[in-house]
Amino acid sequence: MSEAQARVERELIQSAKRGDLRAFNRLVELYQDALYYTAYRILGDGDSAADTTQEAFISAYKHLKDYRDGSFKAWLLRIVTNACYDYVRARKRRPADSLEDMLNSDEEREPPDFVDSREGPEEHAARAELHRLLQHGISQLPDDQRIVLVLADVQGLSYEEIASATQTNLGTVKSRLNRARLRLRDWLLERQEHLPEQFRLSSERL
Amino acid sequence: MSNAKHITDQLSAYLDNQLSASERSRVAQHLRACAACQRDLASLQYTQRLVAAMPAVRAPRSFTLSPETAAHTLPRWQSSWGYRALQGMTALAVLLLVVVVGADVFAVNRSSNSATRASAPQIASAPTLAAAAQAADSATNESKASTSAPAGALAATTAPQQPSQPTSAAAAPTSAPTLAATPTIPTTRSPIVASASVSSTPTSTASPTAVPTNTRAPTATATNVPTAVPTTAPTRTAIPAESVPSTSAPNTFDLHPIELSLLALALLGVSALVIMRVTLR
Repeated sequence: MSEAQARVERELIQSAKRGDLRAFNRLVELYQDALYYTAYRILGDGDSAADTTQEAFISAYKHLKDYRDGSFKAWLLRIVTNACYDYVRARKRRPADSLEDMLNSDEEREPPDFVDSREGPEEHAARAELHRLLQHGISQLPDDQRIVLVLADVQGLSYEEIASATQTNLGTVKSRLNRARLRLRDWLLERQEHLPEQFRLSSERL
Repeated sequence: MSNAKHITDQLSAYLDNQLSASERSRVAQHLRACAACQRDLASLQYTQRLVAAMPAVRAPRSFTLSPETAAHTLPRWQSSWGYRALQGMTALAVLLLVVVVGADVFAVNRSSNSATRASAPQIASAPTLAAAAQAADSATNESKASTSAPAGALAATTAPQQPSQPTSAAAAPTSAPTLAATPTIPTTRSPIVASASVSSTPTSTASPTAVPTNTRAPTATATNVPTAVPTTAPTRTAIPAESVPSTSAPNTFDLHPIELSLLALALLGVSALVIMRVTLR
C-alpha cells in the first residue's frame, strides 16, 4: 500500500469511528474481496463464505472503536477468521450438512477462473481440476491448521499477523503451518492419479 | 544423513525465512547432507506454491452495510421491543413526576408564602431530573453506553436527594413537614419582621421541633439571606413564629400518592435499565 493509500485509509477509519457509515462502507469495498476469499478458502463454499463475510463486516462496524493501530487488513482478517471458527463450530453441531457432503455435492465447484489466453481449453480444465482438488485437500485439514495455512499461503500474512489473527503465539503458528503443509502434501501425494499429469509431485520434478 | 535428526519440523519456517541465523545455518547444513529432507523441502515448497497460485475469488456481491443494518448492530436485546418500551415508559414516568411535583410545588407556593423559597431550588432541580431522564434515554443509543448509562442513572437517583427542597421532600415524605418548616427558622431571628400573611404559616405548627432537628436550616439561612434580597426577604419574614399556632396545616408539602408511585416507577425503570446494561453485554 502506498503512503497516500495508507493516509486515505487512516482518514476513512477515523471518520468511520465517528459514525460515518459511508466511510465505513468504502473500507468494506476495499477489503471485501480479501475477506470473502479468506472465508471461501477456509469454509470451502461460497454461500457460507458470503454469510461469514457479511457477519464479519457487521462485527467490525460494531467493534470499530476497539481497533487501535497496526494493519487494518490484518484486523479485519482476524474478525473474519473468528467468524469462520464460529461457523465451523456451528456446522459441527449440525452434522446433517457436513463439509464432506457439501464438497461432494454437484453444486460445489471452483468459481469460474479467468481463462488465460495463452492457455488452451484442455490446460484450463486441468488447472480447474487441480484447484478443486486443492480446495478439497485444504478442507480436510484440522480447523487450526487450515486457518493458518489459508492466512499464510493464500493471504500471505506474516507469522506475526497470523499469531495476532488467531490469538496464538509465533511458535504455535510455526508448527501449525508446518504440519498443515506436510499434511496437505501427503494428501495430494495419495491422490497423485487424480492430479492432472502436469501437476503431479513426481520424483523427477522434485 | 550426517546430522542424525531430521529437521522436518523446521522446513516451513526455513522456507518462509522465519529462523534465526544459527537455526538457519544448522538446517542448511543438514539439508546438504540429507536427501530425504531435501525431498521434503522441495515437495513442501511445491505444495505451498500450488496453494498460493490458486485463483483469487472475488466477492460475489457488495457487503456494504445499509443504514438499517448499521442501526441494528446494537446488541439484540437493546433493540428489542421490551427494552424500548421500558425506556419510553421510564422517560414518561420521570417527565410526569417532574410535571406533577412542579405543579404541586407551584400550588404550595401560591397558597403558602413560606414556600416561595422552595421555588428557587425547585426550578434548579427540575432540569436535573429532566436531564437525567434524557441521559438515561440517550445513553442507550450509544454503543459504549455501559459507562454513560450508570452516570445518567446516578444523576437520576441522586437528583431526588439533592438539597432542593421539593425533591428531597418527595424522597422522604416524613421529612417534608420539617423541611417546609425551615423558613420559620430565619424569620424568628429576622430583623425585618413584617406582618404579612399569617394564614400561611401552617408548617411551623406541624413541627415546632423542626427548629432544632433540621440540619439544613443553617445552610439555608446562610445562603438565602444574603442573596435573595429584594423579593424573597419580605415574604420570608412574613412568618412570625408567634403567630403560628393560630392556623391549622392545609399547606404542608406532603406527598401525593400519584407522586409517590411516579417516583417509584421512575426509579424502578431507571434501575432496571441500568441493570440490563451492566449485566447483558
